[in-house]
Amino acid sequence: MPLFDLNGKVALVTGAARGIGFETARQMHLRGASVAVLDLDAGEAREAAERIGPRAIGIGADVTDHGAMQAAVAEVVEKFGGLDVAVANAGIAQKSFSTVRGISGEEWERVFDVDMLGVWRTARAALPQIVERQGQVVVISSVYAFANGMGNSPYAVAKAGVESLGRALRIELAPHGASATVAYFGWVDTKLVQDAFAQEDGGRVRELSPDFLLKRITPDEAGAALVRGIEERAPRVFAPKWWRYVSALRGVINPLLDRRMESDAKTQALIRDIDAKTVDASSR
Amino acid sequence: MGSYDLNGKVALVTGAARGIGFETARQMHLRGASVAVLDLDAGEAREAAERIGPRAIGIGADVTDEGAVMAAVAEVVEKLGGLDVAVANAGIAPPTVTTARTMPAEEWRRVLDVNLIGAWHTARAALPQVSERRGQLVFIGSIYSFANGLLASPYAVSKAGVEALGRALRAELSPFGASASVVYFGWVETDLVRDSLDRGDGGRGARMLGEILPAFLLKRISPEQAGATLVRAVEERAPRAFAPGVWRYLSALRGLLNPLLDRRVDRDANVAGLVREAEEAAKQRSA
Repeated sequence: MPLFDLNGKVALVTGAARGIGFETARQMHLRGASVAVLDLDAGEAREAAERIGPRAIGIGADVTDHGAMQAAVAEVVEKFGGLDVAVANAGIAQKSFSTVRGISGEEWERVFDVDMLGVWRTARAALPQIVERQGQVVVISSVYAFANGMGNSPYAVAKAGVESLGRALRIELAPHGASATVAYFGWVDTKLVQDAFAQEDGGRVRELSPDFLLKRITPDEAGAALVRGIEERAPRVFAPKWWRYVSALRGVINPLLDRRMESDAKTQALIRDIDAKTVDASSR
Repeated sequence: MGSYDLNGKVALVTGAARGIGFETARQMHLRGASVAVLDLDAGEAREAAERIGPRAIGIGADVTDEGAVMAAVAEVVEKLGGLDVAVANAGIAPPTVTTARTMPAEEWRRVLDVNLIGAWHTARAALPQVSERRGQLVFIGSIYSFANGLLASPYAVSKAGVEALGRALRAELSPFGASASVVYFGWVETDLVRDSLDRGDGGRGARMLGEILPAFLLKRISPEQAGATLVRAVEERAPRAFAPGVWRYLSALRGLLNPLLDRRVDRDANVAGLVREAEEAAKQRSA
């Protein structure tokens, strides 16, 4: 018997029309939860809900819109009678690797708005219910919460912020018997990651990491790790698992890895190319 | 990377009318740099520049306004001939010490806007000059970049983000001979710390920290000491600097310590009491 039994609970997952979000919703449904599939496009959300099963509903909602998130939570409460678990999963990546100097300001701020503020808006909208029902908030961070965000800065900045928010929330929810979990995913075979590595420079970015760090897991495995974390009310979930050790050593490893980036010829060449491409592309 | 002589350089510091920013600008000026003091209020910025000396100018600029920061950089380039060092220092703390659940959304958002988006705007505006002149960007991290942000979540979130931005930028600038630094401060005797810990909400912030931190980690330093650490980091092009210095070790151990400390705080009855008290006060305020 898990610490937190999903059977009979109500869960909401943002960005759940596909990828990790879809798998999380599907597997919670398998455990007996009613699930609300939120996604930008209402049609895709409903279609995903239909594939999941009878206790699933689809709702179109944009996490960058406070009002839309509140309305979505209200709809979930009306249809299912409450909300126990909110998984703030929706996330995007920038279109191509680019430096802070070269990226368009709108794109940088858009990634931040979805990936960081979107998580906050989801939590804000769900918290009254979560506190009342001793439920859970799950925030999807990334290994980019501690890995260097070179060429991918808005994503890394957002995920570092998400981790910080999740940790604070866990302490703040404890007096109410509710909890928060931070999930750190490495490379999951989702559209987000496939698109990133399909780019022109994707292969070169890959080359900078040792092979064992590049192992991809399936959305199915990521969802399973997350659902297990929810059943255990775990403070942290890592998938693949050994990122847990990298995270534990981050305070020592990061300064060393960061320094290596500054002297490694391959990294330097890659930054120059990415920078030249993006700075030329912008009007400057 | 080697030493960096501030003599003859041009530096810009946001939020420099007082506190750490003022001290940083003043001490860079003492080393022979020309300095632009940016602050929200143009009058206060100019007054601070006058106190600093002859090679200082004051400019009013709101870091949440990208256009205003760009205009300020253009003014610095025009008046001082270029820009070598940009210190993204402007920062605020949330006006109420309470949970993410009960803090007014506008307050939460505003802290992120100033501390994180403001640093991003400052970096963006300064980057063309800084990369061309092999200069430096300096970001103000905080022990909240890695400490648990309970009752101060937007501050912690913003500082975790600023650290990530500074690290990425250091890597991205390295092929061009320019650099970025993240400077982590503990408790500095500034208006920000006094307002949020001592004065705000009957000193709840200070009481909360007293519950979770040993006395040696509560030691406060002066803005002058903080500025000196920052200026030394610039002179050394250091990737990171800490003041007080003890936080360097806590940062190195963060990956191991944070899960343990978070769990301890999670179960601390006194902390739970303070969280409840903060939420009660926030509820009454909004009622």
